[in-house]
Amino acid sequence: MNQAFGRLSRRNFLYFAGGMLGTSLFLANCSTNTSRPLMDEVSDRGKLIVGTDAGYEPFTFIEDGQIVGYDPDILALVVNELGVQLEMQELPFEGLLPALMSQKVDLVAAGFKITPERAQKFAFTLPVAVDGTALMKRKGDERIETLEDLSGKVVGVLIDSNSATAIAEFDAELKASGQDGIGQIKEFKSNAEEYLALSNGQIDAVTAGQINLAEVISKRPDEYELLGSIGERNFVGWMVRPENKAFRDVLNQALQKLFESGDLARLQEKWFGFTMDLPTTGYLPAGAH
Amino acid sequence: MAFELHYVTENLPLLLEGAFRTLTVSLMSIMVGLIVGVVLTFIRQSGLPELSSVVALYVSFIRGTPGLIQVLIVYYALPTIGLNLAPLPAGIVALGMNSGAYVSEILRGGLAALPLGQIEAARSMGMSTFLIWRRILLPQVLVIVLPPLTGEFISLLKASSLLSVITIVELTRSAQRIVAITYQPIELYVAAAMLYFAMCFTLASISRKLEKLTAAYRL
Repeated sequence: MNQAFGRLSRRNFLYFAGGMLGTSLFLANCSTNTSRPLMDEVSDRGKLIVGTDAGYEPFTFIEDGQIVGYDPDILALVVNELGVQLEMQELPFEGLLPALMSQKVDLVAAGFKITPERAQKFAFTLPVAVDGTALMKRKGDERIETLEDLSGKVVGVLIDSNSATAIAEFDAELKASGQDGIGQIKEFKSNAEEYLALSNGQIDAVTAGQINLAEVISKRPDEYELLGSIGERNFVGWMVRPENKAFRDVLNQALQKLFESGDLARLQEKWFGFTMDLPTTGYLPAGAH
Repeated sequence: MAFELHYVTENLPLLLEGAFRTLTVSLMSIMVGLIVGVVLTFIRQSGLPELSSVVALYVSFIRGTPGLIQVLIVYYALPTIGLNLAPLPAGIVALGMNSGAYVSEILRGGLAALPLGQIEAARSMGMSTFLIWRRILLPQVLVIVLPPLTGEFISLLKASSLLSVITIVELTRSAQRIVAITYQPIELYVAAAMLYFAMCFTLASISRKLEKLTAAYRL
């Protein structure tokens, strides 16, 4: 068949290859300039791009095909302050930090707790909430009455979440106290999947943030009940890339205004049913960005 | 557990919206795949051995790695070399580049099925390369590759569910979103499966119609 193409010269081919390269560069958007302040980029673009997993009510979840919740409400006020539009992108939880690293999003807001490990890699904003870690079981499951009964049971947790760390620590405590420890810790890609697995009897308990579980239980009181809480309470914040600390300060200023105006407290009342005491200084662990 | 149809009917607009997104993304990826596939075939037939081996390497890379990894590479890894694509272009590029490799293999197979003597005869009668392609090769190759090409496009449509991991709310993601609220996996996933089937079945039917219409060109 080669002879049919016999007249394709190398020069023609190079023209063609050059055209393809040009096309692909045209498709690429030019947001890789890291020396430029992110705030300028956001202003030029006219929108702030926020990554969220939208599976963590009441912080961020889907209702009627829209991403709603406490975080989107605060973000709406913040972008108003910045004079840009808000674009929320829905990613799997474990894809959020990779998306932030690869500059797909400017910020992630998905109930991330401020932990020393995260604070060393990313720059956290002011805390927007404070939350603990809790465990939930099927309503009326008599095999599990106390946290110690979790020995030998299967517990579901969101992959890469802070709850995954908390349940591993609790497991170590159980074992240290002479118990068998948790039978198996199963990692799920979304909170919705683990709640479903709990309903289906595929797992015995679920661990997640306390506010989230309280919300899930209040919506389905016949199905689930709270078992108890583990670990410590942590502040919840939004994260930006460590090189965007100046942008983080811009966000903090906007958040500070919402603190002072009482808008933040109003949104806490709306989504949590109570208000929180949040610090505006000293909330970052040692060595944080 | 009863199959409660009202969960499907209540959420049908969201499901259909997802199905529409699946369809548009797939059609655009098919277009990219066809262009890439034709270009790769063109390069392979061009008689430039170094380029042909690059294409062969590309094709075996695409065939030897999972589509999900390819999607993740295009979305998350390409920005590190300065190619930062928004979710939709990234999805179309990933699926299209993947499909292009398979399309080029299909086209190669189609071309190989044609007897070389036809070209020799045409050339000896003084036909130009362009005329040989237009009058002799293309009409026959397109007919030969239609069934495998349809199979490839059906695979692509189903593989578009991989794009749910890069923020694209296509049919699978739509169904997952509704399940997260209703806790009714059976109804919603079966409904999503039926919508996928309807789309694939339609594609296959169109292909069969085309096959009948082009039967005259068959070898």
